[in-house]
Amino acid sequence: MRVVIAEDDTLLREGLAALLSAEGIEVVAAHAHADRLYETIEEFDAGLAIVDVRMPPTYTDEGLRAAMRVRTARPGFPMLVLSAHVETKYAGDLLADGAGAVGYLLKERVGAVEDFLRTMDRVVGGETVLDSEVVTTLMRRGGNRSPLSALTARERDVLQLMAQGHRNGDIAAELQVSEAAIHKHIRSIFNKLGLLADDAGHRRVLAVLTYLREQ
Amino acid sequence: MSFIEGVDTRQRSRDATSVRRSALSVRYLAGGTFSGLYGLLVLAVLVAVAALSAVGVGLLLTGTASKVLRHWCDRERIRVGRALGRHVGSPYPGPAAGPDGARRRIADGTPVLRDLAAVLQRIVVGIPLGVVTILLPLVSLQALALPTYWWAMPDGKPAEQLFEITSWWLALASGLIGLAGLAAWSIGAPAVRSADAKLLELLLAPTRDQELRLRVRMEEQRRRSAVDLHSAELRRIERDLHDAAQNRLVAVSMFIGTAQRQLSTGTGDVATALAKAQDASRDALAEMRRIIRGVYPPMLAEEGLVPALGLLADRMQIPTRLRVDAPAPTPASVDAALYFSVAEALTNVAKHSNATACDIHLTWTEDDGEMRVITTVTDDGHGGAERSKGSGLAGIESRIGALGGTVAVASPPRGPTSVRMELPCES
Repeated sequence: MRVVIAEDDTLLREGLAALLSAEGIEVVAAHAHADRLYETIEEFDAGLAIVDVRMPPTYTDEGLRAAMRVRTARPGFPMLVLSAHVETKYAGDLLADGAGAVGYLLKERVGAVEDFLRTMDRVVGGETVLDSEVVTTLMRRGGNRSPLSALTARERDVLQLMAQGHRNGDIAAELQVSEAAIHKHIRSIFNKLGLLADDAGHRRVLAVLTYLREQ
Repeated sequence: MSFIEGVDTRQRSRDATSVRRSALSVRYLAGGTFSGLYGLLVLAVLVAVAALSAVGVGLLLTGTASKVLRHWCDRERIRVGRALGRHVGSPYPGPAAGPDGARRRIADGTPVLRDLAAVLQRIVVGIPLGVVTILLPLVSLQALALPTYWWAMPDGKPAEQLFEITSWWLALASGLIGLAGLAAWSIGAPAVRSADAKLLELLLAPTRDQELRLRVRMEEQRRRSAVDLHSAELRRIERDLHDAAQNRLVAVSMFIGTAQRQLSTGTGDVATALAKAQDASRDALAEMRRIIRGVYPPMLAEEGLVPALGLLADRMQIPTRLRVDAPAPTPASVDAALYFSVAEALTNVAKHSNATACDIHLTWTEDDGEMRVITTVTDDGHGGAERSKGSGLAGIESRIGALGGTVAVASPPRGPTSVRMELPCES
């Protein structure tokens, strides 16, 4: 896997590059800015970009905007966005194209190295992975008018785990129920959220998107 | 001490003062002619703009007209203030902000009408008064001088001033009239000046109502700038926490994660990863300390304002003296504002002034039953400090202004530079 890193903090940038290199992952470019993210990805034929949201010059959302530009030019290009704090709007922006292959994590998740590596694999594999913090925040904001309020507590748990990018088997193991039961819950979630069966591949992403729209 | 000295001097030199008062009065009254003539010009501009406004184009010039009127009034306020020996305030709240400011003032109405009345007063009363003030001594002197030369005039062309001088009696009368004129001129001038200036003050100074409104508006401004300052501070702290402390902690977590991974896979140098984690945690702590210092310096909290300022002075590269007169207790908000403002002023001294010595002077005074602390930072550098962007002076102004204080910067070319900060002690 060829990876491009955009992170302005030197220590984090170099630490992350060293961490990935030790795992046999090729870090082809590590920049302190997000200025030429798309060009860099093209130049090195990278397969994943890891981008910090806050970057120079204004330290607001330069990294996110660079990531969005890449996604506009190359829909579905695997993008793992790291943020110092949870901003559901950012998650919504990233997921809006519905193309998947997006991760949005709190920065400190790099500390749980194995989970982090797994998340990278999932994103490269086309899945959508949201930080559990994002999902919890969204759940809290749901409110009564949201279609999410129609979900049962168990269905919410399942949706939360789905949003975090877990597969059905993982969700079943986590909630200690059978995979068939999880299937039933997911079907019910799709029905309640009005997601039609013909869009099978993206329904999981769409379910998560419903979260994000219901703020 | 100096106050008592002042009273003494005044009593000893009463005669000299009365001569000076007469001279000042003459200057004021004679200057009134110029004010009146300038007033005529202002009136002409206003009438022209008003006439053009009827056609439409003049509306574009109302700002200029207002500016001209304002300039005249401000100039007159200074003159009247000097004549009365007290400050004559303006009914306008500070410089008008934005391109619309001048027009808004016109729209405010009442002060402008009073301004116009002052202009008319100057034209109608000021010009004649000034002319009399200039001519009276000249005519009087000539009348006084007549007895010395009337007899030398050729026959059939008698000397004439107020009347034809044809005898010693008439010449003597002329001399007496001249003397009386001079006396009236020198004695009357101060009284006329005082009456005239008081009348003008009525027109130019804010009314009680306006003064209250001004005070309310200033208080609003003060509060707004306090809120702005507060949110700017919060943003700065937030960014410091984000970009420095939080990133360091993420690094700690990342290096520990790396070490764990190395332990589980049996590859890599665990000791190096842990050492990096250790370094990052030390940096994080240092960052936290720096941020805390920026919020409220521990020295200020533990020891108080004067020792904290002493520490700032000690840290300076050039000799810096701290002098404190009659210290009184100040609230924490004042302490913090002064601490950061003095720190900023000292940074300016160190960075820009090329000074060889610096002095910090604090004194507490009671004014109208209100304790005020006056802090002055003076350096012997090359001066020329400007309130331009990034000089830090703007920051000092907003800090001090937020607590209802004032900042005065004096920095002539070639120095010295002094920054004077005055703050009420009750917040």
